[in-house]
Amino acid sequence: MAALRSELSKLWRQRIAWASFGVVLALVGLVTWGSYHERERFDVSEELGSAFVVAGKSVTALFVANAVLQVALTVLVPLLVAVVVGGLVAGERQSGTLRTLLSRPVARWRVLMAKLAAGWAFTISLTLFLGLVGLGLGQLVFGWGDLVVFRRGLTIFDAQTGSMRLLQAYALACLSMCAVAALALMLSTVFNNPMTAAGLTVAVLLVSQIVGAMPYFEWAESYLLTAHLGVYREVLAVTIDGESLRSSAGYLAAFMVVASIISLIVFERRDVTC
Amino acid sequence: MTGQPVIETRGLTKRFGRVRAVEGLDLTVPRGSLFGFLGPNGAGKSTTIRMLTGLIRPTSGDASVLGVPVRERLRLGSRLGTLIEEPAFYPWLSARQNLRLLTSLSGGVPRAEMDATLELVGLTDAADRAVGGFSHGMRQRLGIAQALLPRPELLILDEPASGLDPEGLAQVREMLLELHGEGMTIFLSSHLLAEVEMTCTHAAVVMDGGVIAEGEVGRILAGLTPGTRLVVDDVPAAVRILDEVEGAQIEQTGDHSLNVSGEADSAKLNAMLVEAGVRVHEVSPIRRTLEGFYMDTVRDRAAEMADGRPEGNIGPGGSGLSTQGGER
Repeated sequence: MAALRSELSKLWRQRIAWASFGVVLALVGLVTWGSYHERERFDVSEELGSAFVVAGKSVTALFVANAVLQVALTVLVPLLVAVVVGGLVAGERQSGTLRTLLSRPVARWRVLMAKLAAGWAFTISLTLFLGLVGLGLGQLVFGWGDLVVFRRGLTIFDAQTGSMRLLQAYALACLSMCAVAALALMLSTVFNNPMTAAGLTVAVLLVSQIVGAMPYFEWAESYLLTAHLGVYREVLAVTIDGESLRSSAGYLAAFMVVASIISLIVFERRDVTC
Repeated sequence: MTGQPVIETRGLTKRFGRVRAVEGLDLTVPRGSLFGFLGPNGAGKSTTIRMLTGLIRPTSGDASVLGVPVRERLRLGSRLGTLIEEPAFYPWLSARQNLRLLTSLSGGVPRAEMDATLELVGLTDAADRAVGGFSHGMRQRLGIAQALLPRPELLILDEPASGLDPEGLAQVREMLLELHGEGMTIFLSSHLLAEVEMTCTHAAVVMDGGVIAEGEVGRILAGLTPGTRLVVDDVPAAVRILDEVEGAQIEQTGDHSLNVSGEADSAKLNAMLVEAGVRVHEVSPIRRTLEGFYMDTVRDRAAEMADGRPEGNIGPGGSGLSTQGGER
């Protein structure tokens, strides 16, 4: 617990950690602002035609919370997680504090597990912060209401169901981002430069995404991390594909375990020469 | 100086790929000593210290610290305190917060002990200032403070006086002597031979990854051959005359200067030269220093390595030292 407390206190004192929250806050503000000025575009009455009578509004607090989730989880949150978590080991190695830390009577695995837990705590906090600020600002500007989802057509959830689905989506988003954090930490144990670890994490995600989009590599898609990072979208459909959801969640969990084991092996065995 | 050695290595070896950083190192550090670990840059001092403190895994060989194999270093707990090269801290934290954070990993220390240690290293006034604004010397002293918390049986310091000003050097020297006086065993690497001579009870010289000489500093100095430095107007004539002195070894050190080592009395050498018509401008005794010993030892070793004939007993003659042969 002492190692975890120490890692958390170090992480929360870093400017980049607080800057990440600032960036997320700015993004949510911009999305809310944009949604306010373009709210007519999201009016579903026209899309449904005269056969349906639409009561209430399309843009609500739930709508904003979902919109920021879709926007931020593609690049922004993975990038911020890569930068912060990628620096947890490599940053300390570069600055020399890892040498000071590991010359103390503490097991290396404890230090690494504390860093992993701190990294995940940051990741989950950032993802949930995104949702909470989205809900808060959305409530302030648009008020409460149903959740309208534009994905493979149009889905409208009543406020209660929408809230539950959005809660599940954020829980799964946390799982996705924790997998990204595990990847960043693994690369952080391998490289001495935190920017290399962060850059490579983003590069791995981009390459994985590009490969997954190419028809030639269709056979490999289910093995790629990026194919499962969007698992949170599964719960925003009318009917949840349980098998697909379990498969993706299982893949992410397994990825986190394997990445953590590799991190542990590298961290335990690697000489501290800088 | 009794009982089990606090540090013992046998055939300790570390290779980084094809580079041999440490090769077959045999070292024994007696309990209660203040041990100076000397050697030129790249000799393997820091690698050895990192192996002893668990930061680097040995390629082969054995090493134990306080009777515990280094592979089981965690069993030592807080009995070992270390400072490895230039200490690094979290710059946004104060000195006290850094110490609290680091010591919390091993169970923490009482505030009184932390305050006393900060006072010992002279950082009481700066204890609550962010370390980012500390000078090199202050960080060095903070590094020593973290190594002392909680108070260990054995202190391993890698270049503790590196980059310190004369005042800082004197403070570290006083501190080490005080801690040693309290019964702590201290093992330190240093380039500052005069400091080692003033503080250490024992010393070892490491070169090319192995120990080439080790022993008590007092015995090293006592065993060194005395000598005389002469400044004369005619060096070739002086060399011809002094060659007749039994046991004297003559070395020309400049156009007009030469060193004569051996038991011969300075006044006698002077008289011989004057009687022979050689004008003598200066006669001074050569002080027996650890630096002189070190330079001779390292130079001899380098010459032997260059000749491809490393052998044992390479320390200056009669020094009473244990020297190690080059099996490498």
